[in-house]
Amino acid sequence: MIALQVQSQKGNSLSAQLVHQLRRGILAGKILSGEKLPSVREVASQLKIHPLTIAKAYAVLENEGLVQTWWGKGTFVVDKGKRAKDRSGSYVGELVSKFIDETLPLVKDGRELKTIFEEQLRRR
Amino acid sequence: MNALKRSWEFVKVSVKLLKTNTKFFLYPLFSAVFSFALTSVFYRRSVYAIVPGDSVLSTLYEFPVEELREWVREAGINAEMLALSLLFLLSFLTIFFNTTLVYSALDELRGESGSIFMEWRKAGAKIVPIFIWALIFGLTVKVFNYPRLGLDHVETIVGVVLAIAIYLSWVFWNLATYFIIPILIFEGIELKHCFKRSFQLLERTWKEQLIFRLVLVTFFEIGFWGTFFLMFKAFGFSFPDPNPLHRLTMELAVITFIALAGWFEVTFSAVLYSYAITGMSPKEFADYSVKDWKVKTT
Repeated sequence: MIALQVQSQKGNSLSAQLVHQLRRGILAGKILSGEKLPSVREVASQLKIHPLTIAKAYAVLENEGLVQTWWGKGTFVVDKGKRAKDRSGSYVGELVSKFIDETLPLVKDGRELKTIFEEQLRRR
Repeated sequence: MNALKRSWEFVKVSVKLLKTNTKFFLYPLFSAVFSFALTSVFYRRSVYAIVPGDSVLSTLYEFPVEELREWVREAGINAEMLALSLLFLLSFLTIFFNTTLVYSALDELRGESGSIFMEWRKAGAKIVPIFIWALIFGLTVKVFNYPRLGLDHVETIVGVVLAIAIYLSWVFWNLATYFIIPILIFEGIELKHCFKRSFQLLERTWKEQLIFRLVLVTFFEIGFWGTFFLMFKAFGFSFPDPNPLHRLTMELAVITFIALAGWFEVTFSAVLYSYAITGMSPKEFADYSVKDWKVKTT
C-alpha cells in the first residue's frame, strides 16, 4: 500500500489528489489486484480530513472500475483482467492533457510542442 | 443496530441538520411557490384530468368523477402536450431546488457552509444533467399516469390489482433513483451511469429507505391530511369552498406542507447517501457537531 498525502491547494481538491495517487498506484502495480484499501475511517484519521472526502475519492475510483466496494467488507482493487479495456489509456490521456495545458503556453504553437516532444522521446 | 433503529437515527440527524441551518427551508419553499405559480398559470381543468392525481388543486377543487372521465376521454393532443410541458417544468423546478438542497446538506455535513447563491451557482453548473433528468422524470410520471386513463375499470378487481401494481412499480422506481441527485453532484459521473450507481447504493440502504418511505412518510402524510381536513372543517371551511380567501388559506397550508415534506425528505436523502458511501454509523454522525465535523484520532 502506498503512503497517501494531501495538501490544501487551490484548484486541486483533496479528493482529486487522493484519486490521482490511488489511481497511479493501482495502474503502476504498487497497489496489487485484490488488495484491500484502508477504510474510510482509517484514512480520515490518518490524513485528518473528512470521511466524505475519502468516500468521494473511493466512489470516483469505483465508477472508473478500478476498485469495488463490498458493503460491510471494504474496498478492494479490481482484478486487472476485469478492468475496462482502455483504463490505462484514458489515464495516460489525462496526464498528456495536463502536460499540454502546462507547456503549450510556453511555445509558439502545437507543432513546436510536438517537435520538442518527439525529440525527447527519441533520446530515451 | 437494526434497520428501524438506524432509520430513526437518520431522522434525528436530519432534524438536527435542518435546525442548525434554516436556510435549507428556502429551497423547497421556492420550489413549492414557483411550482404553484406555474400550475396556476397553466390551470385548466382538462390538464388536471391528465396530470397525475397528486395535483393539490384538483384535491381542493374536487372535480366530479364523471366530469373527470369525460375530460380524459376528450383530451386532445394539445391538452396532452400542455400536460407534458407542465410536468416537465414542475420536475425541472423541483429537481433544481432539490439539487441545491443536497449540495447544502452535504457541505454542512462536511463542516462547510456556503451562501444560498453559492449553492445555486453550484447547482447551475449541473444544469444540463438536471434538465435531462427532469425530462426523464416528467416522462416517467406521464407513463405511470396512463393507466389512470382507464378509469372505467377502477371498480373491478383487475382495476384494483392494476392500481396496486402501478403503485408498487412507482415506489420501486423512486427507490431505485433515490440517490441520483447526490451521486450526480458529489461523484461527478455522467447521468447515464448514475442510475446503475443509485441502484447499487439502494442495495445497501433499501431497508432504511423502505422504512422511511412506507412508515415515516405515510404516517406524516396521513397525519397532515387528517389534521388538514378536520381543522378546516372545524373552522367552517368546505370542500370545495366558494370563498376565495378560504381557498387561498388552504392552498397556502398545502404549499407549506409540500415545502416542509420536501425539505425533510431531501435532507434525509443526503444523510442516507452519506451513510451509504462512508459506512459511518448514525451514532458517529450524531457524535459530531454539524458545524464542526472533526475526525477523532486514535
